[in-house]
Amino acid sequence: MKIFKFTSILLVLFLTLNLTSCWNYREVESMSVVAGVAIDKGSSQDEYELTVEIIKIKAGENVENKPEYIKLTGKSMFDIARNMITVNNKKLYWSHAKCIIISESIAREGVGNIIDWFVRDAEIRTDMYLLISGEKTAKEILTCSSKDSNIISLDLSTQLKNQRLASRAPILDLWDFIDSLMQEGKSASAPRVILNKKNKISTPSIDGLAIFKKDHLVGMIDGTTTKYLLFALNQIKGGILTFYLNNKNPISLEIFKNKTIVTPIIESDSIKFNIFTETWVSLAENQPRITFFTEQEKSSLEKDTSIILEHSIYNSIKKLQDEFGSDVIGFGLKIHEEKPSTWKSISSNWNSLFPTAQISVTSKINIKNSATTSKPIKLGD
Amino acid sequence: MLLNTDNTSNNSNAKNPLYSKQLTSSLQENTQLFKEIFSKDDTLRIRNIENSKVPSLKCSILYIDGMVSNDYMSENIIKPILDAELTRELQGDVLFQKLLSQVIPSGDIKGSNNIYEILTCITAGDTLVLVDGSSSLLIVNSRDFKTRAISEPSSEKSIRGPKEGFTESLMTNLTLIRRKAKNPNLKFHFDKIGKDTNTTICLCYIEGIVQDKILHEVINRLDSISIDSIISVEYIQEFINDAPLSPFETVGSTERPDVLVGKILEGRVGIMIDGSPFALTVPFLFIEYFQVAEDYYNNFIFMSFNRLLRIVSFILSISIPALYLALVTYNQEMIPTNLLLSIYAARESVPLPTVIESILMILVFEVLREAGTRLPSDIGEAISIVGALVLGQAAVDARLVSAPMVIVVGLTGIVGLINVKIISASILVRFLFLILSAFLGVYGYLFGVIVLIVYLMSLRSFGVGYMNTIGSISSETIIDSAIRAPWWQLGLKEFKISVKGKIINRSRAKK
Repeated sequence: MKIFKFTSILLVLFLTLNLTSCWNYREVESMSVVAGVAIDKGSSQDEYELTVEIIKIKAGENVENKPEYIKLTGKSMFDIARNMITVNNKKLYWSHAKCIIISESIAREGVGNIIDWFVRDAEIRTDMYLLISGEKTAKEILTCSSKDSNIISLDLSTQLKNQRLASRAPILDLWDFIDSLMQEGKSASAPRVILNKKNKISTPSIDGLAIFKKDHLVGMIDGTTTKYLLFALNQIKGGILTFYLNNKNPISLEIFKNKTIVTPIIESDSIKFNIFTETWVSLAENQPRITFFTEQEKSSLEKDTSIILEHSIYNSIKKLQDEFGSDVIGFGLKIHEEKPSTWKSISSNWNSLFPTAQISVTSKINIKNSATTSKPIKLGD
Repeated sequence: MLLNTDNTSNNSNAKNPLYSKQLTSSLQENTQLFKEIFSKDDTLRIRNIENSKVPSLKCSILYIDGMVSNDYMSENIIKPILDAELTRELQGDVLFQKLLSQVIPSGDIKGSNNIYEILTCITAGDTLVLVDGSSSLLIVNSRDFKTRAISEPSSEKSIRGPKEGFTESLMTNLTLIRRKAKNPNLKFHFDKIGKDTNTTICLCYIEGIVQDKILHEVINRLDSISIDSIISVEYIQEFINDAPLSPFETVGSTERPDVLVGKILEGRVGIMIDGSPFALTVPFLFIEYFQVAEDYYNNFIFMSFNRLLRIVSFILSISIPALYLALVTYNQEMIPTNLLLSIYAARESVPLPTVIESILMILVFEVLREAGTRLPSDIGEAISIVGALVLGQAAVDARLVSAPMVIVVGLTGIVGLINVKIISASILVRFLFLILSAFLGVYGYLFGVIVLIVYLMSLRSFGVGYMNTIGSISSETIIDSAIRAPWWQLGLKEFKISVKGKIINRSRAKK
């Protein structure tokens, strides 16, 4: 009995110790922390150039974190990443990497083969952000840090997280991208990153959407159009809606909450999508100084803005259909979920069906309040 | 102050042949016998007296100097014998009976001819009166020796509770208990343990509340202790402990009479010995480590919070170094990026690997702690200055250790000191977890946690599950475990400790 107990304990220990998966004792300071990576085309046709932003930590009286860039070309991602030891001396540590920036030219050729390593590797986390560069190369965004040697990747990830309040780009992790890449009835998309150049200082800004078809980039749209697409995607968490009603001065509504319902309607030979959005807003800025505090005025304002919003959403989706023919909103998925039998028959030629689908948008805006004052500013001398 | 010495006679000490001698009816021989027994001991005092009116009344007074009250002896023993007006014909045993019943005005007096009992009494401070012609002698209680005054217990301070603590005198302690529970069911049961020290041991419990099974088990284990000398109550603790090799105690100890009364009111048995200001309580549950006297004297919300704080502190004190090590050397991806960068900056150019660094720093802390407790209080401050400034600040400045490590060790030390009673267990577990973490990272730490929980669940204290109240969420047990419910709740369903089934004796006190 004692031997049985002893051997079973030994067995359990032996088996469980084999279940530790990837682990290794390593000191933090023996590695270089990677913040982000930019992927560009190399000089020859099938070579890639990786630009890795690592965080250089200067210990001392004041701890200073500075970015440092390592560039290396090669054909295999992992090969390049490992070979960087020859440049950097230390092994790169990828778990804290925040962004992958891919250049437009590579994205147009297809990203599926590049991101495989980023998804497969145990150290890299798939909750990093995949960004598509709206500039000529990807590295110029990563290395633009000229003002106070900020670590661009960390800044970009903070900026994207705060897009919740601006809604000019979707917050998509790498796994969201992979997910929509693999999913039937939904095309992939990724946030676009561009450089704002002013007085020789350029700062990166995430604005707009890169639209994919399979794993190829087909085009990019700006931030405002993206915002209306996000309405259709039901991903609006905040942001500002600006309307020009009758005059040149804008009226701004701050979004608090939004709910979007997409209903596919399949008739004999046409496919139609009803999009209903309901948005709760507050009047945040009233430049034309319209009065709105009576019920009638309020509802007429709600009605006017609703119509404008409807048109904007409709135009954005129309642009998707006409220019790119890429279903990033996932209308196909909606049919798949709600009418699986229909989806079976149309899934094979959804790509050609999508641009012909009819769209109708109904928006409802509810103005909850008008911030701290109820009246427009009266001008008196 | 009568000791129940009935069962001491079979506890015979056969080493000295004089002990087996019988008293005779000759005063001379008897005195000689005691002189031989105490031959090299100069504290034995012998005073021979004779009554002038009754020539047959010859006595020898024997006592140990310093243990008796001289005033009491001359007033209540010597003077009455000298002044006694008895019939002249009285002799021997009849005279002895007269002295016992009519002459000596003492409240605590008895006759005896058992040499072992007599020796026990005289060494405890009683006065012996040898009477010519009788083979028995009188034992008069005239004990009087200096004891420490009742003072606030230093190990368990309370702000709003009673300020009295046990002293080294057993009888004083018993009065402290009796004064808190004026109840005829409160029983004090005396026994003697230790052939060389003859130490009085006292069991105290409340009949009707204590479960008989537990009481019998305690008596059984105490009976089977074989040890020559007992100085402190912790000797007994190690004998009757259910898990003799465990760093976790399965016997509680307290310095406060109010705590002891509270525990015996819940059906526990208290064990005290003469000469130790600590009392043991059995059975002892794990949760009792976190219950302190103050819990019951202060606002229940505040004290529930404090009790939760103590439990969390214990968990932290065994986990912090292990988790830090695991995160920094194995699972860096679990640290927030900014924190990782700070640790990176702090660790740069530190020569030692994190695992060695943490073991060394914890050892340094333990050295400081031990030095602090052993040193007189006025030097203790010097230790803290040396510890904080020299070892902490300077070592970080010199880049011998990293600053996060100092924070980790400091925090571990502080949270460890919140539960002073569990400190022995937490130091050991802390090191075990640290070693597991050093080999297997977070995975190893979790291993340790699982093993610790299984181990604690397997412990028993006098048949009661060590983690008794932890797995249960019944209202009787939860109101005084992780939280302390208000008194109107506690009073309704008072928790009484009890055992179902047979008690298995796992202690080292076995016959």
